Amino acid sequence: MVSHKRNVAPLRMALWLPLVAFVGLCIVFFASLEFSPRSELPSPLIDRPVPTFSLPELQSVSVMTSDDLPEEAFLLNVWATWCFPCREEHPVLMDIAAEGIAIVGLSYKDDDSKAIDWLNSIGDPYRLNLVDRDGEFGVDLGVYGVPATYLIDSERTIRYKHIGPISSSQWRQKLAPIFKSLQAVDEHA
Amino acid sequence: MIPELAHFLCVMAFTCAAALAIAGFLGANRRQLTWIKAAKQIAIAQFLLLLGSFVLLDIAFLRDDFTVQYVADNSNALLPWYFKASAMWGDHEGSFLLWTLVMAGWTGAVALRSESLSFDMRGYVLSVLGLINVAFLLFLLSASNPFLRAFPLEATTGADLNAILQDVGHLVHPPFLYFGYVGFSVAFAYAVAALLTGRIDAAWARWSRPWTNTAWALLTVGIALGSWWAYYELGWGGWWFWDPVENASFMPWLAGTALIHSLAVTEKRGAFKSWTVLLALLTFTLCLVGAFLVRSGVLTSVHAFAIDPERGMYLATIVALVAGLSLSLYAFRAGRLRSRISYRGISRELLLLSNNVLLTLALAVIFLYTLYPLFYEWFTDGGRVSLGPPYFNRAFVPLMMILAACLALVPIARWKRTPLQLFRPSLYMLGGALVLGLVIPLLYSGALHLGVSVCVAAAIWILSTHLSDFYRNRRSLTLSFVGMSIAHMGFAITVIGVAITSGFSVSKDLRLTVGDEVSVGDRTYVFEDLRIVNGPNYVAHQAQFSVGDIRLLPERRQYTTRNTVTTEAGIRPGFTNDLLISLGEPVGDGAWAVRIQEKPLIRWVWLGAFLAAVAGLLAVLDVRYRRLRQRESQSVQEPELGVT
Repeated sequence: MVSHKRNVAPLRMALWLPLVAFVGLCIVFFASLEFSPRSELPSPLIDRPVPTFSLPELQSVSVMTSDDLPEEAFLLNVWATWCFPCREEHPVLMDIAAEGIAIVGLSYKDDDSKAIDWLNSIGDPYRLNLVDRDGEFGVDLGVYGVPATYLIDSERTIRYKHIGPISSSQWRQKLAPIFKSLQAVDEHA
Repeated sequence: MIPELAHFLCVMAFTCAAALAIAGFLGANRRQLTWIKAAKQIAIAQFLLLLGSFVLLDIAFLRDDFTVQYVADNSNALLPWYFKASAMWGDHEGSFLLWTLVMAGWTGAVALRSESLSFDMRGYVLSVLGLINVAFLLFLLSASNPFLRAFPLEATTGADLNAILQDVGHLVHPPFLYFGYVGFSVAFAYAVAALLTGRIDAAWARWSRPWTNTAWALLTVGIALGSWWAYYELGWGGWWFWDPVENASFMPWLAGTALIHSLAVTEKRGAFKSWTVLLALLTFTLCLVGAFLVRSGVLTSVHAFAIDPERGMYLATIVALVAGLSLSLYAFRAGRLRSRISYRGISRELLLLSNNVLLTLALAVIFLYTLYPLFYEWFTDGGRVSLGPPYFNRAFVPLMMILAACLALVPIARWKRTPLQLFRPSLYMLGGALVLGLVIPLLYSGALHLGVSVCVAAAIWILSTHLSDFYRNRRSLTLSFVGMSIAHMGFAITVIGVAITSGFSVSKDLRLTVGDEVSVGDRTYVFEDLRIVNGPNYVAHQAQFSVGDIRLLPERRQYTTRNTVTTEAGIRPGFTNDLLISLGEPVGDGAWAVRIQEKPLIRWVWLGAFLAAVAGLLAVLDVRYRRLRQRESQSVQEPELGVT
């Protein structure tokens, strides 16, 4: 009887091992979701120049090319009136624009008159607004969800891609520091 | 109206799932037949409601109802009707609806076919299945609702189905995969019920085996279909990439394979009990982990669905609850299980034990390798790595070869202990297999190839011992014996296919213009023509190659709506050799990048898997299980109230 018990005790401990191992894995998983929410896939366009384009501007209707992009670091924001999260993001963009940061809009697969109405009624954070009616330029940019925002430096090289709406905390904590570093490079140059 | 009705039916199904969990529990707890009977009806109702919901949403797809956001995002007016129907599971929301429907189907099947179980067991099993349904449906309705309308409405013809999914492979691969994944929930529920009631015995194993076999066979088919689809649709002749999502389906398969074998020992010898229970819990947990990995975007992959951390959190919570609760239950209760077993030397017990050890090791290796990029990123603050096939192969192939060697001895080994003289004939067979293993690579390439030799020899050894055993027992064959033998031979056939096709495929990347002639391997290929072909929703460049009197027509398709390009390989399938040509990009001056490949025995890879799957289903049909059901349904007239 005694020897029997001696045999069983370590086995009982072993029965807890699966649970312990699992809890360990859980911590890793939750941590990785929590600390690095992977809303960005590595984009093949990172560190590449903005693809060339020739697109109409939304309000002036004149045709724009890469040369008309701002000469400082700027944000390229892909948006549409049919996109709900864009509405959520809009006030944040207004705040960013108020800081004096240049934002170029890309009105994506949208109706021009609706887009103009939108800007007139809730405010226009964009320095200029390119119109990509069929989403062709979107393909070149690798847009697979709206909204999406690209951080672009003064050399017109894409440095970072953010997918989904920018919340004000994301801007403060993550995107603004990256953008500051792009601006800082310009000042040195 | 239709999507709203579908949505409503889905909500009703959710209430049924909740009622099922409660009714099952009360029936088990209070031992009242009324509750159990109610649970059975509820389970069937839940399945019918979800089936209705599924069919209605599919009707929305067939009718091009682009006012539904999910339809507008994943279908297009130009699609042929069968791709509209399958576009339904082309993205996260719809595929999860399919997943919950399959789950409800398994639940209904268990409700119908569990009469032979004792009261409390049946109640707990249904209750656990009900809870799993609740979790899935809650996720569907709250975080992945496919029924929502698009606001504001816009005139659209639909964003189109991902071009790679416009294929017959997409019609069949996901459903089979889900049949398999979700099917393991039955073994899981039964293991939980067994832990709750404390009854784990031969009857428990005998009841679990057909369900587990069925789920395993369907998962096997699902994985094989996926591999075949990748082979011809991704266009470049690869058939297994050790991609995180492939691994996510392969890990439950490995655990499920171990479970099938471990259940056999538990049924026949009353041994490995707590290990078998653990495997049953683990297998289903791995299925959920797979769903989490694919749908949360934690790991990036060609399969990744729309990426959404919130969904990831939800799924992680389901996994944590399911695994955490069941493993806690295991830790507290499995100590009561006693296995008494004694065996000496090479016996079936030893072979089955090594099967379990090797499969578990392989599982652990794949698990760690798959998650390695995650750990790496975590510890190096954002660094990205990916482990390629060489890493996986180096660890996985040797384990499988040891497994193959054990497998060859299976027909000879007896329970408890095997008289050594029985092994003598198999040693002669081993000798023959080694000679053949050495010769076959010589025939293919004229050179020695040790790695291929080892694999081929092991496979031939398995085939010869199994065939001779089959012949010896030809007068007393039972379906489960036939099933086992065929499944093992299927494994051997897959091993031969993998070894030969990996060792002796020929592949050449060329730059060709129309009129060119090239020789690859022993054949001469002529690039005869290049034309433009119009499909229903794509424009394609189609090349025409001829080899002797065989015509191959590889295409490069440009899908108009999403502006995506796919390569459709031109394949001449053959039992001994596939010829495969892929058309790449134009490289100037009318020349095209072309890859010409010869893939010997590639079909054997899938043939073996399909054989094994059919064999798994054959074993389910064994009279043993039917007799059991009859016997126990007679005895169930007097409800068993004893507590063990």
